[in-house]
Amino acid sequence: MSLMELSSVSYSYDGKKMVLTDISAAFEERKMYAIVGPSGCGKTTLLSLLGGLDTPSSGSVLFNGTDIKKIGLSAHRRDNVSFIFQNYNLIDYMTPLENASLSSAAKESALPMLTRLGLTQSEVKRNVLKLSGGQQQRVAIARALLAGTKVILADEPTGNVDDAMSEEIAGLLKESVQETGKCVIVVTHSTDLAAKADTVFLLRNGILQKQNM
Amino acid sequence: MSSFRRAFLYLKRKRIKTIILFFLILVLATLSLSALALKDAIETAQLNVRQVLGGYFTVEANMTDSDKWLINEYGGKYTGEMPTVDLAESVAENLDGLLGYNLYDTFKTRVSKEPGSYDLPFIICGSNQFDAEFVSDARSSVGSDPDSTDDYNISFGAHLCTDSAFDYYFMSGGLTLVEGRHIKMEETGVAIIGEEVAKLNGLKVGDTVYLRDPNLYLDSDEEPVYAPVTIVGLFKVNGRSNCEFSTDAVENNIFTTQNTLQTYSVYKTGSYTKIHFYAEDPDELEEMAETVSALPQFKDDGDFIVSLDNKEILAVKKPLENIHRLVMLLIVLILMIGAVILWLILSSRIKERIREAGILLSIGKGKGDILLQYILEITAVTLVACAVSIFSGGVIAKTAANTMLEDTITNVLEEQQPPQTSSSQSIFTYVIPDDLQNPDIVGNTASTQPLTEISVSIQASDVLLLFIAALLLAWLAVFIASIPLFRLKPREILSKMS
Repeated sequence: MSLMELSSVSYSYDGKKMVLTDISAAFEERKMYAIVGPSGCGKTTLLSLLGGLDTPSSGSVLFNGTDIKKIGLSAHRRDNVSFIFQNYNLIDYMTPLENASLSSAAKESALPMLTRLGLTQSEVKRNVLKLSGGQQQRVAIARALLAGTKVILADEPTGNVDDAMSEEIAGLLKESVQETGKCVIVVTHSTDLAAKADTVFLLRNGILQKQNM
Repeated sequence: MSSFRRAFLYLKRKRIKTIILFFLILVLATLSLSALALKDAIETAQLNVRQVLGGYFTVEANMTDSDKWLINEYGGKYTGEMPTVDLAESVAENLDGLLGYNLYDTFKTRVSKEPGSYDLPFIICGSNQFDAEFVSDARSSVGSDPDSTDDYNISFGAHLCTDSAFDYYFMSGGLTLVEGRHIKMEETGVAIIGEEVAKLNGLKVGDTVYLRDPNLYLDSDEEPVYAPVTIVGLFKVNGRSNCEFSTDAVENNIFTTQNTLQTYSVYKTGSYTKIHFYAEDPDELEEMAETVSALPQFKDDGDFIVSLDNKEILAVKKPLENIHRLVMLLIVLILMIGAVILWLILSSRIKERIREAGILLSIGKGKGDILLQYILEITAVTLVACAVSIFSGGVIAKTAANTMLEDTITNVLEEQQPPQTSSSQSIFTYVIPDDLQNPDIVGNTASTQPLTEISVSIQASDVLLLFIAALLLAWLAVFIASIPLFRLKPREILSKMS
């Protein structure tokens, strides 16, 4: 059985023009998915529906076969999915260590994780805004990995970093799939990142199509 | 991470914002608390003014019934019922908020240090041109002839009371007990005398003097009864008696009980001239007097009548109520303006924190959890600010009371003060009207001060009220300021973040 599933999902902002039309797709554990498409085609909206940040106009989003509305959107976000955003979205009055353990019950895992992701002992305790963009994104990734959820939803995770860092982040996401068995769904413009995915979907004109690899 | 931990981190790391919020709430709390303290002080001052003004109601015999008068060639004598202790007790039973009462009567008495010795001299304070000469002549004879049986032929005033603490002179501030204690009707052989008379005669509290009937002279045939009386208190006169002769002066009065009088005097009436009733709050005197007037003994042509004296209270009541109302308005304004400012600042802060809210929502924190964090933050700042305001509020309130209120209340009282004449009932003169044996005291210096002294202190109830009001306002402000944010879907919040 699929871990996550979109079942005939349609979405409209105003009830007239459909952004997503009757989309059905399945996402499995231990796989990395990339959703690509032109700007404004609804990629982030699709990710928001998967993450329970919004609800579809019609159709349903299933997690382990259960409609996430039944699970509860907050509970779904807390227990089942983690987000990584293009602009990192870290809380500015917390240290990297505190940001990483924000959604984690196991605080003691945060330091090893951040160290593993390349932050030094002093960096993890300084103001998070004093880190470079790449370091901030690593903190965001650490937060997602530490949350203990089965699905990671990443919205343009390499959008604000240089090529080298982009490569590194792609590697980290792939690693999390292989080592922890997570399902990673990435919305991206980057062909390099998409190339690392097991499955690539193209979203265009509200229709989601699986691409042949 | 719990809401408590996040709130703690926010307050700790966003120091400047926390300090600004702290000072804002501190200012509001200080103003509110000082206004509350001023309100209490004004209420206390109002009560003090009313009490110092000495309002009371009087119960006395209804002497308008001509059938109760016995007329002969020497004049008229009232034969109707006079006020008694039983009457006073039956009236008191029907009244709530009664401070106390005193029945009084006045007689003359002779006072000597030993049985059979000369009358004690008393002080000269009459306004009549012959008064000083009259008393001095009598004084000069003392000791000049040890075998002389002449005495002054002048008497002290015996002021009989059932409870000297509630005697008009003491209640109105005309007299102050400076040493010893007051006397009550159950006691026998006790007296309070003037400190000047005591000094003149080398007497002190604990000494014994002897009283005898004023009509029994040392050389009379009838053997007088000498009643030993212990001096239990000394009084000071705040001003001077307004009387022609020193024999009538309050300075030369001896306060004692009817029990004492009855051990040596031929007068054994058991009744009194008048009863003065005092209320805990003189503002209630009118209602009390109405209640008493409705009692059977007072109806229509009853044996007794009630008269009310609260003119001074009524004169200052309205202006003082206006000051009180002004402070109440100030409190309401501070709270309203404070609530609006707090709401505006918190709205702006919460809008600034939309990113944080979006992040927290994206990791599965509920809106209630985020709201709880905001409430914990404002609660912590409010509690500290309110605690500090206990000190700052006290200082501000005392300063305001010293600089503004005392002057204002003094002005109010002075405006209400009628022209000073010997017979006027101004707040600075104490008079028992229509009572020739009880002279008034003029030029009072002691009792004017408490009228304008404002004692300001922060009450525990005010602090409790402040904490409750401040927390409720702060929580309400956070709640209202959060509504626009929490009406958005998480995705809309995240869109705004972008």
